[in-house]
Amino acid sequence: MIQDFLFQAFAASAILGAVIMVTRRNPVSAVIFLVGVFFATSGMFLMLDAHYIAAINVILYGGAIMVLFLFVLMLLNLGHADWRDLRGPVGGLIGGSISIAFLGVLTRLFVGGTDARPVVEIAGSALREAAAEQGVVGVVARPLFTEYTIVLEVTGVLLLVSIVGTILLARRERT
Amino acid sequence: MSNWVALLPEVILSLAAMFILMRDAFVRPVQAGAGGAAGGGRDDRRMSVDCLVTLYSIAGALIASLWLMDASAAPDAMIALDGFRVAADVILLGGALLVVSLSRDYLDREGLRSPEFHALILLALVGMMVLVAARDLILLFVGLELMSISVYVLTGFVRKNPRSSEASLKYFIVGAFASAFVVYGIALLYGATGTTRLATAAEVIAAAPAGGDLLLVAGIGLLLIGFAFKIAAVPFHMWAPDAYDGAPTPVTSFMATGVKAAAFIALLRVLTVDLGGAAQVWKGAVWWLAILTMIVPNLVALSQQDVKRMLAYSSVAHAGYLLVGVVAASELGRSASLFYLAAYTVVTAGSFAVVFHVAGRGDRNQRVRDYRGLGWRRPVLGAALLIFLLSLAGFPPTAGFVGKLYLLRAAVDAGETSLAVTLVLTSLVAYYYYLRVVWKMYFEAAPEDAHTPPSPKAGFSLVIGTCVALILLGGLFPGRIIDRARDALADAPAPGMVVQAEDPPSP
Repeated sequence: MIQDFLFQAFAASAILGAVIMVTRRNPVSAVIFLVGVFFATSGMFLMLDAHYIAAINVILYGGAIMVLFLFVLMLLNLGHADWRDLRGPVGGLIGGSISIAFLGVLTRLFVGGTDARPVVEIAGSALREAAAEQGVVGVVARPLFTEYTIVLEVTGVLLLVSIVGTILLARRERT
Repeated sequence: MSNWVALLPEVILSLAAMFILMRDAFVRPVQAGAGGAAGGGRDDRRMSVDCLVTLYSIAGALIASLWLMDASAAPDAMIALDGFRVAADVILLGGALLVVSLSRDYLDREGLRSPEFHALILLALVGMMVLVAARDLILLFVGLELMSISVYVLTGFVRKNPRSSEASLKYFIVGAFASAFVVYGIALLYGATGTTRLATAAEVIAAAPAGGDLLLVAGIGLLLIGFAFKIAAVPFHMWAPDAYDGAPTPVTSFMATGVKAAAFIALLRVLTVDLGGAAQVWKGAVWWLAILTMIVPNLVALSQQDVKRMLAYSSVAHAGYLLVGVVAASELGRSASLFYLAAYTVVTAGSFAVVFHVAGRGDRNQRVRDYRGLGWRRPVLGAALLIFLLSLAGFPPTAGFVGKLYLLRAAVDAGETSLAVTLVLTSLVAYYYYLRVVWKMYFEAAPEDAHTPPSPKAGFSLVIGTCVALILLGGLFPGRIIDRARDALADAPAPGMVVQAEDPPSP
């Protein structure tokens, strides 16, 4: 019960944080709210008994990647709050109405869903059993190296392409 | 270990890409100021080796794909192993073979000697092949990203040219936006069906009561929007003309053939085969996409003065014709789309190559009026471009005509008469801008100071000739190809995805 309540609270703060993040003018404060979103998401993972994912999420996203983001923003001195929004009010209107429509879809799913069992119970019980058997890391690692090996390999190639591409576009021109 | 054989084509391409990248790291770079001629010679040699490695590895992957034709995989495997995948691989690899062999001259001319060009083309191909073969939504997404990121970089490849950088940035931002739609759609589909396996999802959807689930509708909608961005269907096409126009022309050709074909084939399979049970959800939306994508770009293309940009709009319009096959959602619709796609790939690779050859160094001469009298000054090039334009327009002795006819029959059989009518009417509109180039080529005299493009090298002419031959063969003997497709279809294993395309365009 308390788990379910906490899950909903984390979920609500994640959505709220995300909304605040995309409406900020100042990139630095947007990044700070993004960190908040990551922490709230980790909290959701924790309530679903996905401890390993929660920890990795905090360490990698909340920690390492966001620090890089902040560094880059501050180095490039991009934090000007007085920049005008490029899109006019029409863009905002369209974007806003689509967001509200999706919020409506999600609300309907949670409130009037056909499946009355709370999300926490479904995901949590399956994960708890698997974790008791294989350990918290094993739950993630085993499928990653058995069922989803191909995905892992292709992701490796994807990272290679990203590195090669970044260097190609950013390096000094050869003379 | 035998399971890995199913990935043999992808492995061959990846190893070749690694080889090219590693070779660059270990071969001593040319010292600046150490004598331009000697350095240029070494660079040339390295380019040739890279180009050959690329061509051989693509040919190897093509052979490996054809060799996999008789194999079959478990229905819930992660990678498909059936006629549909082989047909898709043949289209993608054949298109890449044409693009790479034609782009050699362009790279030489513009002094683009980075080995990353070929490595990125190969890795993008891996992404495309994973995308079309994926039977799992996660793998589908990773393949899509691999393809997209490689092509973003290729678009911005000419760093000295600000338009290339602008195109790359635009393409990157819009593409990342589209990817977000796809991944959100995948998440919602997972929520609706409880699985990321497409085969299992199809069973779940077939078992569920028709059309009720809000989550399923939202998921399919988002997936469709994401893919519509990738294949540049109207109204999600705004980025395409700029990106196509700014990218170096061989890359434009690669985007218009490979990227579009891969995203389209993946969409075709996911929608008509796996989500076929939920057809009432997506059919109306795809119908509108098809109608708009046929009408809008054809009208905009009428006023284009730049041939490359005109071809960019024409390529957007062709996505609309292809979507007709998706709406038909039948066996015939699928094979019609694949046939059309194969013909379109050959024609597009050929026509962009002629355009960059005529344009000359720095792409200076690519306006329509630069084509005045070309048919008399360079008869072979002119004749090739004539055939390509006729095929794009859909005139009888070409594969483009047969493809359109085939699509029309699929649309009429499926009862989509209004789509068929729109297809015919918009094709008529398109005659104007295709034939305008033909008119300039043959019926207007070139001014005295006109730039005459150099006569093409032997290799270039050979590949262009192959393209022309393939288009005419596809147009004159479509029955042969269709019969062969039927034969191959008879022993294709999985029901519901028994489609074969025409022969590989092998130079």
